[in-house]
Amino acid sequence: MSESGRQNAPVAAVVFLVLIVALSVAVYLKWQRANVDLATVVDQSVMRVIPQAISVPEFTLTRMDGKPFERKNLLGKWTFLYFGYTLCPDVCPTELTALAEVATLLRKEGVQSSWQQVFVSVDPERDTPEQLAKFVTYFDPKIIGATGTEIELRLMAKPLGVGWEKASLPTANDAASSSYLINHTTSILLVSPEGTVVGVYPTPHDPVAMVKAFRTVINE
Amino acid sequence: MRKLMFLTAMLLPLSALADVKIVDAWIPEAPPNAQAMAAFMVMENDEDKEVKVLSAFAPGFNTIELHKSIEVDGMHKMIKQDAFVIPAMGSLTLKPGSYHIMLIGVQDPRPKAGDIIPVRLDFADGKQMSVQVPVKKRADMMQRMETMQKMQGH
Repeated sequence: MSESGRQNAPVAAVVFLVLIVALSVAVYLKWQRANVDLATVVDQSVMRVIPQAISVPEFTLTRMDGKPFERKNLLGKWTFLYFGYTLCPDVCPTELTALAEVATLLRKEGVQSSWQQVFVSVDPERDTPEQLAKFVTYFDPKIIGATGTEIELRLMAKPLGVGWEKASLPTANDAASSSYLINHTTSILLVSPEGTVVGVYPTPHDPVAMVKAFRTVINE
Repeated sequence: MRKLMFLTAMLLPLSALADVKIVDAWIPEAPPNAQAMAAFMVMENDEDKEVKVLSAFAPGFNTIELHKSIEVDGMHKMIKQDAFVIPAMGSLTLKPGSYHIMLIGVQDPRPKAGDIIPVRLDFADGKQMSVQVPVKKRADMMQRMETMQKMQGH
């Protein structure tokens, strides 16, 4: 028994090696196909699939209920991530209306994968937790509102290609310093359960198409 | 107070009508504490010369401006317009993400879905026009617009 085992050892080693190589190739091909497929099966006008997913950096924000919101809170579920501010006259309400509709559709269609929607305010000066809560819950009770210091926000957003700048209301009579607009990125980011941005939804946002693209990405 | 302003607006000289037809006018209901709202509509011009809107007025707001939303490199900006130009035998569409009448500094009581806000348009030739604009839930209107877009696409 032991003799034949010894004789077969080199054969077993070769078989083992071949198996390892074959398995690696299979995994690599599957991984490659998964990546290639995503960009070809998702309508790129609805969601731009990012070829090399961007990892969301470590960050610490504060949720509207006072609890911390950190990178670890992105893990284990899909996240629709949007940056804006509550006094945004038109764009943010439009995007949040779309997000709320996406939420309604996902619930209605009974999607199994867990997901969340996060609205990050880039206006910590004016967006108090109370103001954030009032704003997001106007659209959907489940949307999480969060904000942080200017530095913390920039550190988180910059690697994701999200930016903003203050702009004055041109001829507003009440030219108080508290009255300003913010020009900002309008895309909605899709963050994977691994905490990487895998796709970007550009405007205009059609909730039905957004849900379709999402279901293709999660393969559900 | 709002009712009084409404009546005042109703008494505007509607006889001095410009040769412009306004359709599908609406103002999205704003989330709590919003500092500004926007009015959208389609302005149709049946004349063989272009028509310019130079300014607008609506009761219940501090400042009214003509704006256009644009997107530069994925970043949203609003640009103040000196006038809205409605081309001869054509139309100009005011809609989210594009041209809009910006209603800045929302006064109390804040407009709610179901309210009607009289918006006065001032034209370059001196004529004025009052449009009764309903406040509507944004979600309702967006669904309607999507349906319309899909129907146009087929």
